[in-house]
Amino acid sequence: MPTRLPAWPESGVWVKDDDRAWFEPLVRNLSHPALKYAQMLVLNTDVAQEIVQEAFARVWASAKTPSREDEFRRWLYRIIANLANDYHRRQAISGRASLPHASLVDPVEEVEQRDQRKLLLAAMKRLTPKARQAVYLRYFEDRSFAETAGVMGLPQVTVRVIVHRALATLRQRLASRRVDEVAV
Amino acid sequence: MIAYRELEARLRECVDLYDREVPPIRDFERRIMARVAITPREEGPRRSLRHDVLLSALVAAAILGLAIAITAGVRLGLMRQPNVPVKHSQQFSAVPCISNFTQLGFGNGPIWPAKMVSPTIGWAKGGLRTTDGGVHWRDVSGPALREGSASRLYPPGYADFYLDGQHAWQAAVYGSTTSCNDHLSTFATSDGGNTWKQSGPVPLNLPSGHQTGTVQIGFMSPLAGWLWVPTGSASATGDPFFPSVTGANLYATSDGGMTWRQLSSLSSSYFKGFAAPPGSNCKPGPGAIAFSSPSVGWVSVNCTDTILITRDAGASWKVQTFPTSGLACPCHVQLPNFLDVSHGITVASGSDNKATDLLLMTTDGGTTWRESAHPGTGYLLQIDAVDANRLFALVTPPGWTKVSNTGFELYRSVDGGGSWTLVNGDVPASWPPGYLQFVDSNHGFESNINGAADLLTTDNGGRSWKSITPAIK
Repeated sequence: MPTRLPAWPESGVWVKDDDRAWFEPLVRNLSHPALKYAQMLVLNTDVAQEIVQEAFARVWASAKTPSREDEFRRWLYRIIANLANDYHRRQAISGRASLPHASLVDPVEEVEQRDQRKLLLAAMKRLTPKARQAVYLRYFEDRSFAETAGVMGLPQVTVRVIVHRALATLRQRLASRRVDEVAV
Repeated sequence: MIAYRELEARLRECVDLYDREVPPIRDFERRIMARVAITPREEGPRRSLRHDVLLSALVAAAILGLAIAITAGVRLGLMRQPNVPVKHSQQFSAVPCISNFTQLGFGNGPIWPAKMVSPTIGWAKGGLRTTDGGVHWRDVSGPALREGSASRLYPPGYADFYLDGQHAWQAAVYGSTTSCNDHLSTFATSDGGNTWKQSGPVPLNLPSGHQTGTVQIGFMSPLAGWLWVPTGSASATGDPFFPSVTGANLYATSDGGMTWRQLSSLSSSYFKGFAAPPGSNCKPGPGAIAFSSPSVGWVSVNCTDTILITRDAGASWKVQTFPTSGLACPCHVQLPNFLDVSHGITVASGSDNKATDLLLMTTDGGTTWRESAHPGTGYLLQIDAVDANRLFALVTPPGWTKVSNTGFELYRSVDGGGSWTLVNGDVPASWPPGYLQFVDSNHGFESNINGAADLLTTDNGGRSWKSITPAIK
């Protein structure tokens, strides 16, 4: 039986109590989108799962967490992004010579991915984490620039620049791939 | 070249493909709720309009009551009583603290090896100690660290350091009845965790709204050590657990961590001259720290590729330069690791994502750095030094990809990195490797960066590896 959400108060904020009933529907609705988002940021399934679990635990722990789903989602996504950043920092600190996942060129994978969409997705994964985050929110979650900026905590104009540069990078990479293929 | 509009349309078409790549995980919601179930919540009522009104009334009443009490107290002479010491407690009921006890690390592995000191004895993050080569681990943390809790949740600001088989330190930030980030305490053992001594409180004196970032602790000897406490405001990041670090305090001890004195402070104004990449709202600030001696240390500057060096125990800092010719810069140089006061290693990599990283070494305490021979031709994943001459390196083999499901190459140097010999071309380490350590020329350990669900061990210098499944006793 589906869990009913609490009645919407005039203030637009639910009065949360320690009952987890208000939280479970949000977990149900957002756990998979959050996992996809985290996976795009860290490009590691195990770490993405751990980050999403930790992020939900943290939003649960904080009294400031908004209950409205759109605001909750924005809050959750910010924590996921911060955890992903922290994950990359930990790698830098703990690894004696650690290597960022995103920086890896994966030639075999690329060769196998002749399908244009696969090629594009592979190229997207080689963007910087910040660019991946912006492109993912903008095109994979179909968010407006204003919404993307809200989630990323950046000015809208900055997000536009990040997305534009990311698109330019993707165009170049796809173009160079085509040149390579023609040459082959 | 593809048009922008077409590219945008194609990106939107990738959603289905990506959905197939990241399918829903069975039991994932249950696992999240299980984590939630063991997560304590901030005390106090949730915010609402009604609560706000009630809260305002209560605050007004409290202020009025306080004024009356002070007036009465002065008249009765109660204010002449000696100062009552602040009671330090981990119970955050008095103030709405946002920090909570947390688990350590990421990933599904239960053990994050920190330092093996012999083929049988070693430490893992969180005060775990093994005496049987990593098969079994026991949490030997002092009871005061978590106030006797049996839970494997650690206080905010938790950090640890393991010098040898007997000497270890843990640090954590605690609140008080007046502040969430009131002070820091350290705990020291000199008998392998059988007994622990707690330091006096190190007052943090943070401005309102500020909290600690990633604390680090380290020791050069059983007596001489340092403590690095970055601080910042969480409001800038929008995440109460991740402050935007703007400053840091450096402390030192000469009595094994019982008392700490502040050596220096790097304030936010110091970092105003550093620039983050264009388009980023990341604010440069102090990152991680490493020391080669009590006076010589390095600090990375967040959001930049800069590393600072001090030669006067933090009194002054200047930008450290490294030889990076041949790399496509801007280059990223990792914080150096030092084997002793003279010999250090670091890795520099370019921004072109190619496996052309440089292995840099110093034999004069970091004054000069020279490029060393590169082991193999792939990505340098891990490097470890038994001493200044004997080094081991884990490298990706030629043609390796993340999906090739092959092992890694292990190289050994016996001349301080001057030349490398391939020991094993197929070390069965899981991706991504996160820990490699050889305690002597024969005995080594390797585990994943996400924790050791399986710990690899060797007793023949890396020629063959055995997988063991560590367990916490």
